Parts: sequence; structure tokens; C-alpha cells
Amino acid sequence: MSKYLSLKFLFLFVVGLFYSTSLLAQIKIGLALDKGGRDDKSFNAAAFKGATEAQKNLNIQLKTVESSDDISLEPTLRTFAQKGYPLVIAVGFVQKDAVEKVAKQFPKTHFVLIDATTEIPNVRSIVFKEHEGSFLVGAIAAMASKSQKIGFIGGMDIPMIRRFQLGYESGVKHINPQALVLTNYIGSSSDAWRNPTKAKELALSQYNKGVDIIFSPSGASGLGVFDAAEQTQKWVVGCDSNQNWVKPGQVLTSMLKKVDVAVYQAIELETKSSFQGGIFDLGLAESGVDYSLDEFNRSLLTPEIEKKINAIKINILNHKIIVPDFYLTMKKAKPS
Amino acid sequence: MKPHFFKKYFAGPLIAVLISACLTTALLICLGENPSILWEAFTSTFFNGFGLGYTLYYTTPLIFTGLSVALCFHAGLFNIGAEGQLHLGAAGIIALSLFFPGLPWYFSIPLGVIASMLTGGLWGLIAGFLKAKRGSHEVIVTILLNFIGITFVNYLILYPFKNTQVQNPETLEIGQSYFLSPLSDFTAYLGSELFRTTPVNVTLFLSLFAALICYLFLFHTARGYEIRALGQNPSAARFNGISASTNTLLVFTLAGALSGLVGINEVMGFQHKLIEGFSPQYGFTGIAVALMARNHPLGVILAALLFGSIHNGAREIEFLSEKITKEISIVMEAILIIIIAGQGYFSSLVYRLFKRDCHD
Repeated sequence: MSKYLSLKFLFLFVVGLFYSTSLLAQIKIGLALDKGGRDDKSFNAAAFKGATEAQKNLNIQLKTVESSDDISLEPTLRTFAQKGYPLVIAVGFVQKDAVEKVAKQFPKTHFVLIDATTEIPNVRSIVFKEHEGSFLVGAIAAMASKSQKIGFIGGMDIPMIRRFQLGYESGVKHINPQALVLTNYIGSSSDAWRNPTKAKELALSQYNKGVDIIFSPSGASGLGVFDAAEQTQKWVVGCDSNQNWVKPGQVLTSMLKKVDVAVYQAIELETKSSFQGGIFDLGLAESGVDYSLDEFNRSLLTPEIEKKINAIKINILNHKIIVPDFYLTMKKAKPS
Repeated sequence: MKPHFFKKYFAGPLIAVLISACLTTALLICLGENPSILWEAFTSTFFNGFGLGYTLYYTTPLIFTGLSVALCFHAGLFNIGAEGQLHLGAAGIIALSLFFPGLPWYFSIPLGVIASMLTGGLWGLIAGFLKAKRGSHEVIVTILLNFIGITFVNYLILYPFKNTQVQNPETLEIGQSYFLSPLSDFTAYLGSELFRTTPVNVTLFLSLFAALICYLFLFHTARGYEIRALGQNPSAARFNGISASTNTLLVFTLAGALSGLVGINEVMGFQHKLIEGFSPQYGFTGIAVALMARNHPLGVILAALLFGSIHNGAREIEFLSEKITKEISIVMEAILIIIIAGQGYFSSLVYRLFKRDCHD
């Protein structure tokens, strides 16, 4: 009997060992998206793309959770940490507070915070120089526009989107100081990130005023602008993800914010157990932002435009062109 | 406990829970998911300190809104306005704490409670006034007041009280003296790790106390008798000298005050600031809680616990399953509500099937 028992234990032990090693090899990664959801085709979609690519290439186990309301962000992050996920990726500045609270309580868990910064050592904050990318697409818009009236539709009226706006406007003015930029914001509450109906209304009214290109950093709301562009046969500039494929022929280019690359890199570092906290500010130099050129907009961007824009890019890189940053102007305006 | 007491208050809701669980299980099987995750999620909301902490945290506001709706039901009134009232209550606390940030705790905490009840109660009073003096239908009025109230509070969050240092739509932080202790502080003092890192706080005791007060008020005072008489037979109540308008005003004010208390749990207990969209529809879930509790104030506690656990378990399901998202909890709640609301029909159906008395 005892022999039988010990055999049984040995068997269980071996099975357990196999099981645990196979689990050990697979690192569990938690991805917490914000209100936009994985199908906003823009900001969250980029993060989701990076994570799924990592799942394909690296030996990880990915769990994606979307938050339908702002109040469930914190419990989601806390549950990830509680369940022993070694790396939790929080997408969106809206999660800043939640990450700060949870990261302090779980100092051994690694966090990645996209679009906001915090000083906590176990958090890797990744922010982008949106103004540089916006400058590029602004310049492209000014070069391609026939009416020299160019539109901007922001999502929620917050400093980050104002940063897009300022970069975009100065990009337009760099090419043609006389060009007119029309600006609208969808709202001042977080519903502005997923209100495509209102985005479409604003876009239609801008197109009716003679605007022929609209850039809309507004999360899932931006899809309304794409609809309006298709309806009026005018142009739109995509944002965050490469959105050229969404309405081919209508999308002049996309301002790329390479959230996917940042997410992928963070996961890769975690699998090599060389995770680093700290603040990473990714601009043109770090190829964190860019404009997109692929088979869908090849015919829209003429070789002259491409040549000029690459020259501008080089000028930004060696500081011959200084792109104004709304965060800095905001700090100057307020002496505090 | 008398046997008919069990039949009256517990049999119906228990059957409803069972049917709802069965239907949700069937749904999960149809979707090709292992239905055992339902049970796993349910147990995780009670049988570990972390899950229980969150369940109790969600239970607290549901007790308040459940009581608010139940109180109105007793007077024959339908309060759909708990959502707006709780927004106003939270705004009341924020206004108080931002105007008087430095009050000592023995003033700030009672005043915070009073402020939330006052602003919530006043919002309820508007509906009561329109019902009692103008004869407007309370359902329409409270629904419309929800829109106005929530929009007004969002305006306060986004403009006058906004924290301009952050990008999120939220207000400035309230003063330290307004903070209520989380229960984890007490358990840590006793050397236990129960409730660690969860937001459940002392407001839970306030909600239990409120349920007890409501029970005593409704069933052991003359005014409570008047309210119940009004609800059960308005004309008989009027012939006996019970004023419909006075009691309507009173009931709506009390209901608003109870809803307003939700703000304490959110603002003073946990977030320490007001965030746009802080309520995941506690006000509307409160209607379901009151229905489930058969409008009994003490039953509201149990019903709120059930709905709190469903709300909490939803997140757990999201983690356990690859196919199902937490919206499954809405399906489950909806089935529960349909069965509870249609209880009269279902019990007569059962009666005809088995020729036995299934009523109370």
C-alpha cells in the first residue's frame, strides 16, 4: 500500500513539475484598455496590435480587459496584480491615478503606463511627442489641400489634444502661413472619445465650409469623421494607428503614434527579465511618431510631397525646425 | 421565524435567482464556454478577502439606492430618480469640502453626511413637489430630473471644481479631514489581511444603520403607517385624514437623501474626489434591488449584497473566460428582473401546473 502511495506521489510530483515548468515559461501579460476598446481602430487598437504580435512571437499568455466605465479601471489593474501577473499594461492617460495607487500597493508587479507619466520605480511610463507627428501631417495637409482651408476635430478638450492641435497648426503654417485652420472639439467629458455621431456632424459642417482635409485625434469618435469624408468625397488624416485602410482613397495619410511598438518592446523586455521603469518620451528621433505611407495612399501622396516632407523630418531631427509644444506654452502661461 | 414569513419574502427571490443562474448557465453552454466559471466567479466574490472587500464596496451604494426606491414604493410612488439624486449628493460633499477644506474631522464628517443628504433630498423634493402640488407623473419627472442632475454635476466637475493639473475629468481632492477609514485599516490593526487593498469603508455600517432606521420608520411609527396606507389604498388613506401631498413631499425628500448618501461611499470613502461617471448606474440597479427585496428595508441589504456580488463577479468572469465579457452580468441581472417583475404571472402558472398554493 505504502509503495503504491509513494508511486502515486512520485507520479503527481512529476506531472506537477511538467505543469509548473510549462507555466513558468509562459509569462502572463495583462493588457488593460480604456473606454475606446480594442476596436477603436486608433489608439487602443494600436496597443492591442502590439500585444497580439508579442503573443505570436514571444512565449507569453495575454489577457486583455476593456473597461466600459472609468470606475472599473482600478479594480481591473488590482485584479491583475492580485492574480500575480508580472507585467500589466495600462493604456490611456485616464489610468494614471489607478496605476499610481495600485503600483504602490504591489511594488513587485511591473506596470507600463501609456500616455501619462509617474515617478514610481516599478512603472514604465511611455509618452509620445504628439506635436512632432502632428506637425508632419499638418505640413502634408497644407501641401495637398486645394482650398487651403484645413480642419481639426479634437476629441476631449484636454492639454494632450491641444498639443496635437498646436503641432498640426504650425505644420500647416510652415507650408502656407496664409492657410486657414478650422478647429472644433467634440466635448469636454470622456464621452467625447466615443461619440462618432457628433464627430460626423462637426466634420460635415467643416467640409461644407470649404475644408478639404480634416485631422481628428479623437479615439473611437474619429470614425465619424471618416464617414463624413466618404460621404462628401473629401480627405481625412488618420490618427494613432495606421488608418489608411479604413476608407482607402479618402485617407491622405495617418499620423502614427507607435503605441504598438512601445507595447511590444515592453513585453519583450519583460520576457528577457530586463524590465526597466522610468519615463520614456518618444518622438521623431526615437521613431515613436511618424506619418504613414502604404499602398492605400501611395497615389494620394505625390513624390514631391514625399520629398519635401522627408526634408522637413530631417530639419526637425537636427533642430532646424522647432515644433512648438503645448505643454511648454501651458507652463509658461501659468507661472505656478 | 414563521413559515409564511419565509414564503413571503424569500421563496420568490430564491426561485428567481435559481432560474436566472440556470438560464445563464444554458447561455454559457450555447456560447461554448465552460459554465463552471459562473460558480467560480460567484465564490471568488465571497470567499476571499479581496473579492469580499469589493463585493461589500459595491453593496454599500446599492443599499442606499435600494432603500430610496423601496421607500417610495411603499407610498405607491416609483422613484427612477436615484441616479440623479446620488450625483447631487456627491456634488454636495465636494462643494462643502472645497469651500471648507480645513474643518476638523468631528465637524467635517457629520457635515459631509448632512450635505449629501441635503442636496440629494432637495433634488428629490423637486420631484415630490411636482407630483404633490402639480400632479405630474413622478416617473416622467424623475427620469427627466436625472438628465438635468447628471449634466449639472458633470458641469460642476468639468468647470468650477475641475482639477486643471490632470487630464482626467475630475475635481480637486477633498481635505484630509473628510477621509473615511477603509475597513482594511481595522483588520490590519487586528493583524489580519482581510480586505487588504480594497476600497470597502465605514460607509458600509452607515448603510446598514440606514436600513435599520428605514425599517423602524416604516413599520413602527405613525408616519410610516401613513405612508404605507397611502401606498396601499390612496382613497381610503385620504378618508382617514392622511394627507397625500405632505407624505409625497416627505417620501421623495427622504428618498433623495438616502440616494445622496451614495456620495459618501464614493467621495469620502474611496476616491477622495469626484470623477465624471463615478456611478456605474447605482441608481437604476437600486430599482432592481428594491424589487428583489419586495421593498422590505432589511431585505434590501441581502438583495444589494446579491447585486454587489454579481457586479463584482462580472470582472472575475472577464478574467476567467476568453470568450465572455463582463456584460454577461447585465444579462443575468436582466433575467432576474424579468422573473421578479413577472412573479405574479409565474406563480399563477406554477399554481395551475401543480394545483397548489404558491402565493404567500
